[in-house]
Amino acid sequence: MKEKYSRDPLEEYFRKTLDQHEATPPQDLWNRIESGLPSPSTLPAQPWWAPYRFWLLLGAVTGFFVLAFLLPDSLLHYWGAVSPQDSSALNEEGLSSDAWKRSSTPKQVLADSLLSTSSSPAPLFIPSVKDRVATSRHWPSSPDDTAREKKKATFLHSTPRKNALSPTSKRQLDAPAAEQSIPVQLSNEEEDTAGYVKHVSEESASAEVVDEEIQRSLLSFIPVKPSTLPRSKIAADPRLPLPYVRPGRLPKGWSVGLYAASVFTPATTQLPRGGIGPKRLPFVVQSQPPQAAWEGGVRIQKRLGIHWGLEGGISYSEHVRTTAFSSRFRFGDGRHIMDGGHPHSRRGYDHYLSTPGGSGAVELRMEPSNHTDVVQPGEMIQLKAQVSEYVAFLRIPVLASYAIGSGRLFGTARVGLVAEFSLRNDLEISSIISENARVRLVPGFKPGLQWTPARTLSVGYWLSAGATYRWSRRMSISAEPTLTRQLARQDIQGRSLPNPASFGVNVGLLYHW
Amino acid sequence: MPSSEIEACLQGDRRVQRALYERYKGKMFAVCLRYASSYAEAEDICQEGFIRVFRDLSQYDGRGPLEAWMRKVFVNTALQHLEKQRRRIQTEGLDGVDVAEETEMPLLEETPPADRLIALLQQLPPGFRTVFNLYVLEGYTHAEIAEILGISVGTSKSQLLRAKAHLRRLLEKSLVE
Repeated sequence: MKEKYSRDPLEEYFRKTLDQHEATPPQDLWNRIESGLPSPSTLPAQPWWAPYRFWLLLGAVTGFFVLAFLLPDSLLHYWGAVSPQDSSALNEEGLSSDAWKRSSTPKQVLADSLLSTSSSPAPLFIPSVKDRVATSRHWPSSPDDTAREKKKATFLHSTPRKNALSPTSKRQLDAPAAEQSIPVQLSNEEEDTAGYVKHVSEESASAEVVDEEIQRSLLSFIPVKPSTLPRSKIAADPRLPLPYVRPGRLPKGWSVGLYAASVFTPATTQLPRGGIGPKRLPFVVQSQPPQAAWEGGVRIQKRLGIHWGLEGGISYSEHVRTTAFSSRFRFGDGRHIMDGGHPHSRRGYDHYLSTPGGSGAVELRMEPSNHTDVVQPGEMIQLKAQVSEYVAFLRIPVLASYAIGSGRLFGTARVGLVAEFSLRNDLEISSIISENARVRLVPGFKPGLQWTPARTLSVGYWLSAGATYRWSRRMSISAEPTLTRQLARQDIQGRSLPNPASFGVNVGLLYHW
Repeated sequence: MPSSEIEACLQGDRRVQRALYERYKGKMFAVCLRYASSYAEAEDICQEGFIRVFRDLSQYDGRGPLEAWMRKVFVNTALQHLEKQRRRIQTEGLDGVDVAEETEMPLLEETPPADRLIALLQQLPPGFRTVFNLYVLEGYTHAEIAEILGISVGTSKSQLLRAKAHLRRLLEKSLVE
């Protein structure tokens, strides 16, 4: 703004006269403004975080992964304590629960294996959970071991593997101050984890167990945490931290997961349909940024093996999708309307809209803005309309899943069918504004809409692929980009409807047993 | 205006929106009349201006009076409206375009001076009228006007001079009559 005003008397006169001038607008102006405003019912209550939802989702996923990597080893290595069943079984054979824990903790087992001088080393047990046994080689060496094996029939002792800890490797261990690499194979029916104990010397042993499969795979970037095992302490203090052992791939069993997804559907949904109205296509969809819909649900999975699984579930989604689009047609395309002061200048138009939620007939009435100024039939009219579509549905997916890789982080892919039950499908016209100054909507007239909803049930397909991170024996998190598309949608009168693909990211929290 | 009322407007509370409209409709419609070439065009600008105000009210940061912010919105709406008109003239030719009619407005003695001046302003060609409004009544500098309208500073100055000359002639004519 300029600081000083001109001394031109003409300017001063205009400025003084018009500075605080007020004029009276026409009586019906408020009605016209009101018809152009989104109706309050179409304004969804936006929570404070709504504008940041994408970044919050991204941050939450990243946070999960970072947290999982930063969890202390104690949470990652040896889950839980002896289960009540284990304790009772052991008490039956006369071992106290504490004794069982002490004698059978993985640290003790490894210590025994490393330090044993007998020719028949004790089996490697990792007994923190029921039926969980890790063994390098099974040589029953003591009555306790034999009794334990009999009592705990559910234990599965793996067959010795070529990399199993052997007397040869123990002899190598005895070599003074020599760095060794001793393979250790830990396996049971739930886990399948291979590793090596590295750098073992006479007086101290810095141990590092590395997943053999991970070493060979693309996932070798996962950091391996070394720990030091002073040999003098191994025997004395069995609670020392053990080498790092990763949880392996999930074997047979069940998983249940809570999922949340942000689903984006492109706004190519409002399309003109043939039928009543102008011959030319009236509506031209404007490009709009995709709007996210939130979906939440639960899925249960039966793991058929280490790779394949079957799962089903249910999810719910509800949102309001707002789309702005413009229509361009000729004034003369409409029919004459005789109900008003200007019978030869008012025209009515009917259009069909078709959206994934249904189809609708929209009725419009237009007239010249200035009644003394005749609008020619060939003149183009341009309207800008905003519609709000209310959608709520239940989804029931039936999926086959495939897991790839091993270790804590592994890939998952799913494919299957999705049944979608529509709970609500409404469409409202929020506003229609004439983009032409010469033509306007008839004052006081609200565009009518006759809405025919889509059929309640539709079927589509599901494709997804992503990553699952297993941060404890029981819990995993997963993030999966997902593509879904409904097939051959129709409204209740049998008219076909568009079926755009939806893209989203499913984030899940899973519990395994 | 209290922030609670602004919030209510944004939530679509018709009662509060109506109150805001009633409070400012006179001044804003006067702004629209100054930029428009006809009463009907001013109605359209005013309608779109209020819709924009209700839509963009969240952008009002509370610094300065609400009226000044609304005035800016209305001026911008009017400028965009005029730009659309100009483009339509370029693409479709003058046939059928709602050009300001050179009708002689009856400037009677009893007509309030402000209405007389607005009637004179509406007889100016759109370019003259816009520059005159922005410079004299909104207080923009020529450099600012040049930036807003995408013209040179020289063009802005010459448009203003020609607008004033045109207005003087119209004023003299109306006084003689």
